[in-house]
Amino acid sequence: MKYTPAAREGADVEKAYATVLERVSWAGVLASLLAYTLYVFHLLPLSVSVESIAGNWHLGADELVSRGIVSSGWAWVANLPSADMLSLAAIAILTLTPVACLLVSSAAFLRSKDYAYALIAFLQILVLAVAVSGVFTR
Amino acid sequence: MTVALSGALVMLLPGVSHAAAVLPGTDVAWWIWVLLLFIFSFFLGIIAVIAGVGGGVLFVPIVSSFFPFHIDFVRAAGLLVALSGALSAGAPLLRSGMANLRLGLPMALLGSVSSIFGALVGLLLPAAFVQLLLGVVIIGIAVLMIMSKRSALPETVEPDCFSQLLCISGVYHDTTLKQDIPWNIHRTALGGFLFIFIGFIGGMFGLGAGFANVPVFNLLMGVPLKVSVATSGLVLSINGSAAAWVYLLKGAVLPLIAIPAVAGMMMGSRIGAWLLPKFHPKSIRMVVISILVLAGLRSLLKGLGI
Repeated sequence: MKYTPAAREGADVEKAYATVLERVSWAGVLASLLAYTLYVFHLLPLSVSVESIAGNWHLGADELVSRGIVSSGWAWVANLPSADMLSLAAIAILTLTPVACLLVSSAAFLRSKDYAYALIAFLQILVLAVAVSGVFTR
Repeated sequence: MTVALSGALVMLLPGVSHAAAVLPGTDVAWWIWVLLLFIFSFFLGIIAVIAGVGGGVLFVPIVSSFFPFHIDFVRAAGLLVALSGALSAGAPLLRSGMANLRLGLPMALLGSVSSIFGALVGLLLPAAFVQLLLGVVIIGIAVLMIMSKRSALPETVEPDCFSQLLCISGVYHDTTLKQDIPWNIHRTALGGFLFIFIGFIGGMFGLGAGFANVPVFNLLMGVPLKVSVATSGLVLSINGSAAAWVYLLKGAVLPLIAIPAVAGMMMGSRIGAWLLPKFHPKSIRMVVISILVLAGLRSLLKGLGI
């Protein structure tokens, strides 16, 4: 059976990826729990009351957007630091974990002159950046 | 098993799910639903780990059928549940050499593009139609789980041109066998094509898609089972992230629902990992398959307005 030295060299990149993954995902989880506590116990002002959300959560996202109960695109950022939007920001941090990991791994691939994988990691960051930008959701 | 089946049969009754759908403005306080969601996600986390399935595949059909939330918010929460589960398990699997970036990144790149389009299509379709399709997909997944055999150590494969070009191969230490296991892959192009399809389905229905990633890696491409499961989580976290942003920017992520689901699932997964050696995974797997079939049927009926 053949396996290339690249397989073993890759271990360093995986360790770097793992370290960032652990730190950022934990930050996202802790931030989510903290923001949620502020949200449901009304410890900070809210942009939309919990009752309004719960009274309409049987309706679709488009309907809630049209009623002004939730925001589409990046409009929610304008309502920071209300507790409900802080909760959304914490979820955003959690979902951005792979981007942080990919930034570190692409640099590690470049350092090891593994240009093919540096390109794949870069393209992956680009795809995620496009998703985050909201180009397709306008 | 009997308890699970009888409970599930009760859940299938149209009256029960109809009762769940009448929440707004009625006598059920919002926090009761949120608390129920947390408790449900907690137990789901335990079962999912023991049965070896991702959380999203169970979460979406059950919550969309039996809780009062619109399927848009359930799919978004399902993606976040699957994403957070994969993230929490990711670091140790990467450090131990089980999760492999060289294998996972090309597949995630293909899958993440299609998961964005899957999420967009899913949000454009009418809710009842999505619910109906979800029922079909979930029953299909149950059939796939019954039919598919897992191969702990697939036979030695000759690497194809794509895997040689990208140097996709590896070696991991198997603690059960107490030896280093080297591996190669083949059928890389076909595997990549299937990951495009899996990404689309995952994004459209808010499923983690580990149920499909693992057989493609393991049975099609010849990757050892442990590496397949670990790398599937890596792919899932990237695809889930891409699709989750579509839902978030469309206003479909409600923190009120998503955070208790994620917290419950993460806590349950840890308990599940602790309980894992005490249970027989095969019998739990059969219970999960039964629940999937019933949840799929309920989803189908709900999609048909029954």
